[in-house]
Amino acid sequence: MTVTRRDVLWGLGGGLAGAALTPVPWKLLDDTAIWTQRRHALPVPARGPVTLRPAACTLCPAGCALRVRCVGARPVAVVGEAAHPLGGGACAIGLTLHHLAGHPLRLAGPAVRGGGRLEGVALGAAVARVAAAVAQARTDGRSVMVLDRRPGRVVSAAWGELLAALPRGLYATPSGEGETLDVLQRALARPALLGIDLERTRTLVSFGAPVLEGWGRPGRMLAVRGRLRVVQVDAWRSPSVALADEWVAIAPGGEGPLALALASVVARERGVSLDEETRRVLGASSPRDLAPITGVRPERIESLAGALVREAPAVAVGGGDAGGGPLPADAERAVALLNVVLGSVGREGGFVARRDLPGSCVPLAPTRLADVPASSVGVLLLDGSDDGRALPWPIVERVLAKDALVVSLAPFDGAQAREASVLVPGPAPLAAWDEVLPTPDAAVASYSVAGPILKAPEGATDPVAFVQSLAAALRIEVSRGTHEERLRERVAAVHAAGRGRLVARAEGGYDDAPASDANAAWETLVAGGCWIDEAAPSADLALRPCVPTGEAVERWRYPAPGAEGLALVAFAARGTAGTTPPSPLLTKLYQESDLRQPATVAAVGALAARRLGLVDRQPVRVEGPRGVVRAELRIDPSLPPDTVALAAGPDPAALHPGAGAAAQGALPVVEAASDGTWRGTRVRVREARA
Amino acid sequence: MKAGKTEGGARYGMVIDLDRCNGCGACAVACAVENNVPPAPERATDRNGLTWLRVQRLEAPGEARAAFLPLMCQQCGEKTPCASVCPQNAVEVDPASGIVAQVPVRCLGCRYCMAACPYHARYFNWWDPDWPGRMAETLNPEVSTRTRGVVEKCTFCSHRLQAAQDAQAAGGDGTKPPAYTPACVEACPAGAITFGDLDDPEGEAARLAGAPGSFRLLERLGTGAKVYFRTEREWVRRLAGGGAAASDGRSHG
Repeated sequence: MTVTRRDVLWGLGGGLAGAALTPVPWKLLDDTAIWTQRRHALPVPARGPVTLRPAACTLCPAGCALRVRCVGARPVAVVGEAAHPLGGGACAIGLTLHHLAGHPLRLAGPAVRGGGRLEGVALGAAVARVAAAVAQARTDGRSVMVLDRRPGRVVSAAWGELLAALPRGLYATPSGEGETLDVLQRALARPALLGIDLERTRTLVSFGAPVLEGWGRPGRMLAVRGRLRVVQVDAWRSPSVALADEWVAIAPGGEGPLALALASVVARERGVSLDEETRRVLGASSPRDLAPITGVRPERIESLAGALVREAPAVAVGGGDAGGGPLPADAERAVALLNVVLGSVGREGGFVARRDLPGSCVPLAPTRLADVPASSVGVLLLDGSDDGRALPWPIVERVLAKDALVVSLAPFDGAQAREASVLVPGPAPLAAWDEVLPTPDAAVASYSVAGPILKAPEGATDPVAFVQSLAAALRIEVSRGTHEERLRERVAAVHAAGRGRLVARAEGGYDDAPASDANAAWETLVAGGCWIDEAAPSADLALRPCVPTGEAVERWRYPAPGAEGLALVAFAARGTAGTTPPSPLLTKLYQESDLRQPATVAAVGALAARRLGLVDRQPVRVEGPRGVVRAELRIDPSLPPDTVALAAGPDPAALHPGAGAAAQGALPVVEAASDGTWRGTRVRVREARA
Repeated sequence: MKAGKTEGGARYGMVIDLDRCNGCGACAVACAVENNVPPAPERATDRNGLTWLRVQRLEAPGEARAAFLPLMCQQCGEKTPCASVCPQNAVEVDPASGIVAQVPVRCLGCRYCMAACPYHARYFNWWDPDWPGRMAETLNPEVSTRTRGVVEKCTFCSHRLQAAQDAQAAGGDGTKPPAYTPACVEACPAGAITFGDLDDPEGEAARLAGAPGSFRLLERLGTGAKVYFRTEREWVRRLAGGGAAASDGRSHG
């Protein structure tokens, strides 16, 4: 037999083909994958004794109770306390709380920013620089302002004490999700605190508030959801719309007019006795008058109003959302008026009186950020607390004088801290003393304390210690006592009030745990317990007239011709657009799944996309009055034709720190109005060329 | 590949109430935290990312209201498609627990199992894990860190089962399969997930799995999945592939 070259080639070819059918090639691939793994770079988690420690989430005002699983001294997982009496569980953002102490944007110690770079300085030097700026502001007749995003804490009281000693001290707070309650409280003939008796509410109408995705205490909403009918009024198909019983799709900015039109029908159907001013406003606000600006048919408004009357008690809430910001003041007044004509104020299942937290200390009345005069602030101190809501820098910048010094006490170099020249980072979450106050909607007061689980790094400065250092540098007398000691004093005041009940964590839930003295109450609270007030006795909740201004009603009745561009609907989940950068692990929701729309995606309706000549997943530029961002286009058929929906967070640069990505999303393009809102922003969407 | 059950063993499974799930994603994040699944690299997308548990959004045409479906390995029973195609025996059904285990050191990364999985619940690990900052200090020592080049998936937090077995053995009581809770179940704020031994007639999971209205995804394939879903909304059942035929909870596995 002659072996030809062809036979050899056939043999080799057959051998190769046969080898391809064996595991050999796969094994080679496998080995290659193993050999090229960076084993030296794979972290090896340290082992140690496992303990469970109580904590509270401080990323938003909800303050969900947590259990932290620690291995040795390291927290490795966070779980919401399912059985907590104020509402259990925790959201996805809270479950990553333990990542924040090691977040790449975490600041190691005091620093000053110059030429875009951070330079570490000693605490004394940072305090001296702030004190010099405060002295200069005094000389220049400018204000020294503290912006506190979680007012009511002992840290807030420390700020108030310092500011009260300064000639132009301003203690400012941004608008929050309790805005409707604030409007109603201001309209009360006799001062009182209000809450919502959600447990007995039958219908909840949300005017853009994210009531089903992160509002108030989410655990409370989950507990009452089964017996609560939720009507969501929104310009886009928000997560709350996806979970609500009914969606009222409105044109952007239609919240106030719709609430007013509903109020006019409800007042008529219920035969409510009205004062002259309210009668005049409602007389000019029929569904037919306001339907064009709301984008809702008059018949639908009539039927919705009828349903609210039938399905009482009904409560209407505004407050805006974490990315879209607050509703305009007139819209909030319209929502408040709807509650008044529904008879929801001072009734079971509606707005009820609640008692203040014992030990509340407010040395200086808070000023709303929107009410601070423009260019009047010489030193701005950004308190490090977080309310989880976006606050575009132009809103803050408006009040700053030229050459104003901005100081940040946030533990991270993110959000507003990036605008600060002096950074004095406080301890990160889980490394600091903190406290949990009642949410704005709470029907009764409550209080709990969160102790540090992690040791704060050397460079971290507790905010109370910073206030004391600054006061010393300014030769101002303030109360002594550490953060912990002040919390103890507050707990003692709560205990001394002799009301409410103390609950302690027990096997499988929470049990009543009466405390014999203030020390015992402190021990219970630090161990994960909670103080819950009793319901307030019925109070006189008579209201003064609370109506939108005549100018607003005229504007709603006769809207100006449509402006150019698309209306920007900004949004965000609470906790993703505040001062704390989200954990990079949230890429699981915002990048590796389409569950949540990230800040890199701009959604428009099919008609708008066709008109603009754009297609799905195309790179686009969103051009606003103040800036331009790049995004990927998505077509969402549920959006109105002249609208673009763009998330305000999370900031992808924060999710991929160090990657060099520029901050994107809605915040760089929004136009800040003088009332502290940014809902009127118009943008253009164009094809992005590489 | 048979999943013969050992004497006294369990058949762990879960029942997910889709009418309670609000799509918050806490389960997905808790799963990643528990199992040391790293944050997404910059290039990762929803198609190549590593998400052992992913919440899918279900939308009915013309309806504003959506439903959310947490999707993880369905822990198939007798006819486990991924196990039947693995050339390396890297997929094994544990007869003592019914959990479909993935053995990373055997996996050669051929991804046959991904192609075979009818639920798209397996993920190839394209990248080395990267924990930015000092986040690596928060890793769970009970679970290995994820390595590149292998296929991974939900394990029903089998390390928690092992810990429960250890605790049971230390207590001297080995008569019943131990009860334990996977991380997603523990994290769900809505209490939408019930977990337990599907063969324990007194257990809540078994009761719900067998109750009218429970169904499994792609029931017609007969994979014997041990993840059940419940909903009273017909369109959700239809979209989820449960059809009109609700399972009696005992037909497979």
